[in-house]
Amino acid sequence: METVESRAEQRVLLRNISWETYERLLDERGDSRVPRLAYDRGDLEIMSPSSEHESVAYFVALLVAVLAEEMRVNAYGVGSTTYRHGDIGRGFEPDASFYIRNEERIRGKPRIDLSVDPPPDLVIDVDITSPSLDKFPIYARLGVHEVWRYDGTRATIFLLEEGEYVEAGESVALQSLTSGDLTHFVEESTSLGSTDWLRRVREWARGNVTG
Amino acid sequence: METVKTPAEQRVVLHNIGWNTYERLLADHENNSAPRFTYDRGELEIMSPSPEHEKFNRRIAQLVLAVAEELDIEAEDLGSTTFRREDLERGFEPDSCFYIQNEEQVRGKERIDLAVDPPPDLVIEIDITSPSFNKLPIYAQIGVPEVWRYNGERMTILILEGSDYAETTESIVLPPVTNGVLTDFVEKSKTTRRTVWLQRVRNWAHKRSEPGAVR
Repeated sequence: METVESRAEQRVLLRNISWETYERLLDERGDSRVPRLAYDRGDLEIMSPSSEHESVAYFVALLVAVLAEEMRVNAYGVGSTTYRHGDIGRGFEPDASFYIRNEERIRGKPRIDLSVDPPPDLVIDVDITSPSLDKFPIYARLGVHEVWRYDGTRATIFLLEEGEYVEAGESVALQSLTSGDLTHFVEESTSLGSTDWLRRVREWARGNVTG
Repeated sequence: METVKTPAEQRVVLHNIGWNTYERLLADHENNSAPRFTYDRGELEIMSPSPEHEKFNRRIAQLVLAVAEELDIEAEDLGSTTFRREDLERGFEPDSCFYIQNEEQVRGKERIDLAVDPPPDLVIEIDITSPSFNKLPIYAQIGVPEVWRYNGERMTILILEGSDYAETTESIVLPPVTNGVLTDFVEKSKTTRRTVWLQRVRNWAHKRSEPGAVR
């Protein structure tokens, strides 16, 4: 049995943090997208991603962009924007996020305010090391319909059903994509050059998607 | 099957953090020794130690107290107490720290105020993974006379000379401890039962407490 030390993410968990302190940290950190802050009713996780983490996030986001294009679906990428809702005491910064179903409502908006705007339709979460704060309850409470999570080995597609996430065979945001396909593409991104990888993604899209 | 091992320390750094925000975070964590906060003019490191890190921390602290006791030197262990100087915009929470020479000055004090109290005489820092920022300038500014650093393999003794630390072989706050002796004991702590290990530390110190003892 091999022991592997992973530095894909560094995380600390702080407890008993007020919403005001969370917002102050966000303000003081400013436009920098690292480290990432996730907040759930007093618990605050601060996470610094390594290049390994960031490259997986990059390729998954790229996959969404390319597949959406092939499928003629408008996907509005909002990256690792801070999504927060003070009234319910939760906030998060995903690796990548997209508006698809609600794309037209959000397109061009300078700011997203979850008290009036819909949450993103798709959130990408890369967690190669175990998260110190479970983000699924945060996504669920904020109403994110679909989450793709990569744990270092497998990519899983989750759909929100009655307030909880359930593993799904197939994506709803990008139909016909399965967790198996997603896992395969993530793995290939570390072995193929990006041009070959992109070609394979497009070939898959053209072979699998009708219309 | 692979087991994913947690690194000895998890660290994140936040930039542009105001002093007030730093103090608010400290206040929320007043009674916890982890995570540990280090602040230097806007940069805030938050560190979570793993059990492996803490094991070394505990053993080194026990060594200090055992040696001090054998040599009949007063030493107070203040663990990961927060030390801060708002005027310098710096603060730290060491892995362990001790008042030895200045023990009497802080004896019985519930809180340490660096505006009036002396800094700790000895700070222990364990960095098995690379630290995100160098804490020595912070300790130097605050005036900590001696720092022992452990990197997973070696113990280093650093003595404050002016505004910088210099590596040295012999401890000043706890003579006759040397970096070689420390490295050796910490190495042995990895495989020796605590009670046996501690007894060896005491025996070693005891031999050096006798008049005319050989170092």
